[in-house]
Amino acid sequence: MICVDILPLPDTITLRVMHGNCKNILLIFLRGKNMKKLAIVICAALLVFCVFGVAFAVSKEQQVVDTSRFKKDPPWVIGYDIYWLGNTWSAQFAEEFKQAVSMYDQLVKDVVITSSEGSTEKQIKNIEAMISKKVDIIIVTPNSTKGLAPVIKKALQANIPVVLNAAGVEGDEYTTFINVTDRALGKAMAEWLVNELDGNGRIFAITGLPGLGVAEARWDGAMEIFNQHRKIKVVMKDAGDWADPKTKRVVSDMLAAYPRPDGIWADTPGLGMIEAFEEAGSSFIPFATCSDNNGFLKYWAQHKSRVNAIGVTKPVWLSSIALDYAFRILQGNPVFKDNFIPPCVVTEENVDDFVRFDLPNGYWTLCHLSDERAKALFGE
Amino acid sequence: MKMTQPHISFGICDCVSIALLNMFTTIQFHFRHNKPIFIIYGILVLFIVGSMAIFPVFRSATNLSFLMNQAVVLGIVSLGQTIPILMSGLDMSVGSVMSLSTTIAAVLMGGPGWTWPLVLILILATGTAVGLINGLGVAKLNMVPIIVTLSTMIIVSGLAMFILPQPGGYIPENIYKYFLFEVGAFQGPVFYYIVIICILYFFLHHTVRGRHIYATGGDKERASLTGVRVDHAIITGYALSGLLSSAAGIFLALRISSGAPTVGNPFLLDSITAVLLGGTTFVGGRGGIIGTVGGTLVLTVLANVLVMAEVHTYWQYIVRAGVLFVAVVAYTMKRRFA
Repeated sequence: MICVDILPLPDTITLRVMHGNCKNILLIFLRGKNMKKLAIVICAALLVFCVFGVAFAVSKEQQVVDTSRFKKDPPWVIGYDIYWLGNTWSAQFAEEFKQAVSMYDQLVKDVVITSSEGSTEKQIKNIEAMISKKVDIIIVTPNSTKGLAPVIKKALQANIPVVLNAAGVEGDEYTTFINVTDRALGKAMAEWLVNELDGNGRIFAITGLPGLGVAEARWDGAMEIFNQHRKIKVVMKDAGDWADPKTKRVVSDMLAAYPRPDGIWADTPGLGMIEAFEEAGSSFIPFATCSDNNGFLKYWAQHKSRVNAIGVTKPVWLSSIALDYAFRILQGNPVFKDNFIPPCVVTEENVDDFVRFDLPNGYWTLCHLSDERAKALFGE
Repeated sequence: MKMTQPHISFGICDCVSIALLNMFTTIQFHFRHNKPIFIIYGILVLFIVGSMAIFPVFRSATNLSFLMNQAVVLGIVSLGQTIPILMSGLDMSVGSVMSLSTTIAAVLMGGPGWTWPLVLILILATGTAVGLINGLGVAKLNMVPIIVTLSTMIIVSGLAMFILPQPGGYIPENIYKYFLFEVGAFQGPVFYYIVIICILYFFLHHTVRGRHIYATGGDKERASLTGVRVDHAIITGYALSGLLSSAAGIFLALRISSGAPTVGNPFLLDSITAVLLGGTTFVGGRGGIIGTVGGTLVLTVLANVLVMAEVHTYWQYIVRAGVLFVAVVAYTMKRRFA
């Protein structure tokens, strides 16, 4: 958090004098009519403090980044690192970017696309290569909050702006950051679940890929809510790796060990979980997911009477938004340091608006991707 | 009476020709005996010259300094991996030992009560201990190396996850000046890499235990008949591999300025590739660390060039495998025709 000190702190001597005089001043004020004066002075001081405090205590969401030093004439060379391609979401996330960038032939001379496959080390290497190639801007989804910070600093030193997309780094060394707050996402899922269970029940938890900050942030957010409700008990927790096949296996094992849970907090696309419940013959329970995955939504829309669920989602179009910010920076227009987009929510009421029966299961519905590209990516 | 000595005129031309002939035969001798080394360094020079010609940015000082730093982590772990492979074994645990080292570094160096040299010693000791367990399993229990090291790999991965479930932790800034210093374009980690190469080369080629490692790799039974303590050689070899993996882990932690429980995993296959590229084979007793250094450099330059050329990541794997394939075929041709 960036805070600007508007009230200079008194030095030690002034403090000592103030402390010594305080008693006397108070006594003077408290005698008779001066009481009113004191109240006025205190109120005025508070008012000034509040006004200046609000005006100057700028959070990163309100902090404006001056990008004039990055201003360049188009066409530009854009560096884009694909952080991982291990599940349908990440595949579509990368595809969204490719589609977005293909629309700007006039502005973009070349796109240097690298792939990190979930590895921090490889991502550092890729960004180093982009710095060597002197790209005009780098868009990256950091695989590690701490690990990427030094190389991003190097990029900035080489006067290459860095747009963080969908995951952040520690510290202030980046140009702009676009994301949905993952902690809030996990929290919202947990809040819905607690509400559905009236604050009482035994639940399963399926987390994302172990070792990745995004998955941990979501789970931390969820635990914040679960810890507030004593009667909510997480009876089983395992990682579904954000992929349906693994989730199916994990949930099947869980149901074998503990057949009657009351609810499930699942950071997973969703269909694998549903299949596991069906195969085990278990009755459906409230499913708190973070999914707008078409396969899951298809099932949900077709079995509305049975499925009680929510999808608090991180839209895949975040990557195309990052490109807009990149253009803004390269044109020298100011941007906000942190840009948080509220999570989108799929509920029983709006699931029919999102579901696409004509598209494959892998497709994520909150997107800008054209149907042709979606079909090419996930098959007919 | 004065005897005249028969005089043989020995001009400068003869000197040069004899020296050249000498050099030629020496080179021929070395080439015959170290063909893989010549091949791998030939490929390296070819790659470097080629990339410099095609990509002007390749030869920029920034890129070369990036390249040097990139080579170190893989370089050190591959040096370690060379020794088990020299003994017809394999160390599957190197990647997870690296991950474990980064987690210990990130948790303890940032935490109170530990000074960083102590943490470094603890990390190296942990790595060596894992290596010792591997060595004991192979030498004393006669287990298959791949099974012993696979088990330790899984145990160590779990341990790393236990210590630091998510990437994070903290490496204090004051350590960087001891490891990541820069003298001109010369990078600190490279200095350590060279020191490790020298020590390891001396150990393997100029000490009794080092020669025993080679002998064990060549023919275990014959070595044992000639009085070589085969079990000691194996235990030392695996312990060294563990030690070097943990050292590589330290440099990895410095590179990503944090720890992560899975960050070392890709280095297992990469280190094996570097060793095989360098001409050390699973047959045992053949090859050595100089080849491995060449293999590491080829892999590093190749990775850099493929990113520069914007080759799709899937193709990158195929190209790397292709280079490995060509190199290994070239090495076996030597055995067929020599």
